[in-house]
Amino acid sequence: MVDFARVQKELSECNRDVTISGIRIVPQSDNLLHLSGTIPGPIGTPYEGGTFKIDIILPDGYPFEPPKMQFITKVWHPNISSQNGAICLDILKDQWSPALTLKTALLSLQALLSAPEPDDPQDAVVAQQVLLSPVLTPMHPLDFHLSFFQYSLVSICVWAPQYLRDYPTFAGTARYWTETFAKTNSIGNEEKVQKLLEMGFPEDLVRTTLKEVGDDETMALEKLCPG
Amino acid sequence: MCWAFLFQQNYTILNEANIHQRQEEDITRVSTVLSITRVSASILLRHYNWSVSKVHDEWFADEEKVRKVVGLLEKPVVQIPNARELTCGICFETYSRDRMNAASCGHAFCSACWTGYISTSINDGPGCLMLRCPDPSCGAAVGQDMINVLASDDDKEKYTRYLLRSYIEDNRKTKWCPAPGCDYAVDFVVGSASYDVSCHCTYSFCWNCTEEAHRPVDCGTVAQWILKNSAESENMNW
Repeated sequence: MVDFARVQKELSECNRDVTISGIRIVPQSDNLLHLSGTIPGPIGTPYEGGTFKIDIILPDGYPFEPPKMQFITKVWHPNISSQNGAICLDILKDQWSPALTLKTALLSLQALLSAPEPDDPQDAVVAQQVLLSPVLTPMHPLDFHLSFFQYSLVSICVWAPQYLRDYPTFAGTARYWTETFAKTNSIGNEEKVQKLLEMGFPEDLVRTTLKEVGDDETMALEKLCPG
Repeated sequence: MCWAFLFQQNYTILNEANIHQRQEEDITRVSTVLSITRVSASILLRHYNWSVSKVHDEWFADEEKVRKVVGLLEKPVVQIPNARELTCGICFETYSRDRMNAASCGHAFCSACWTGYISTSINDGPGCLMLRCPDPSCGAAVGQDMINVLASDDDKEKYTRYLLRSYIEDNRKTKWCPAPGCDYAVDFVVGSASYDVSCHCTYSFCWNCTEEAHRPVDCGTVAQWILKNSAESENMNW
């Protein structure tokens, strides 16, 4: 059902001007139904300097149905789940049009990074969780890594309250996440992180330790195992 | 005189042919009064919940605004280029001009893509009655004329069903008979004294709450009674 000829055209068109747009789409599998896209963090935002990876799955009805997109890179943003990367964006839902393309959708995601929409109607259950949860006291980004797991329990679009109420904290956290998760070298590090995670170390500790020792896996391991 | 009024039937039972005929009459009326095509009249009526008077009021108050909201453009927003071949904005293939179609706005797409677009929308539900041009920035309405040219027979059939159902369900004065399997609809004179309606299928119901006829008890009491009956605790009390 998927119009593969169109997908191929889209890919070659998008990758032709990758130097100008910075937006890249590559197939994940050989059947073109599973792709991944990367967008650079917009300049002048807390996401500047980061490279954000997005998982793209084309439904059967593509291009008449919207592509399913999800951030793989962790992002701190009112409309993106900090837990699983799910995106709140109208054009990926009911406002999709077959005249839009993967590239225009990724451009819209980039625009969403520059201009969050904290007023967008969001998950009521999560919103309630926000109101009830003690987790929500505004937090200094430096203290952040201590309660990473506590934070990541609350998902999606939750950060809207913080964005509205305490922009400096929001921006600080967003920048910290960009530094930690979206910098190119940290993407290359993913394998090392995975290895250390499998040994049972907590993710935030693994990432900070790796960073401290200049991404040297052995040194990080030594540091992680005291004595 | 007063008594005669009470005994006069304040509703009409409609079968499918009646519904169709009324819908056509309403479309004809609007189309004649506003001097617009029947397809445009149908789109307008659907937008204003099939109220002929509402369509007239809105249209004569501010035609331009109505056209904009509903998506009835007076002239194309883009001219179809005079080239022999055009590129479809959905599949990006190039086709000769005669294989391209556009709504009133002029945004041209190839027939295969139109068919796919219309089919996806029709299979998504009655929202297809308010279909717009696929161009993201364009609000031009896509009417039944285009559906009839571009959709498959199955989809056309579904569209016609939705249009008929919309005439009953979106109209303030009509409702389907709530009896299971009954295809009759009821046209009710809003504001009449008695809510009792007796359908041709022999089912008698209350127009207001669509529960079984319950005069002289009021609808609120009936709702409470039904709730009480359905509550498991009452069975336990027994």
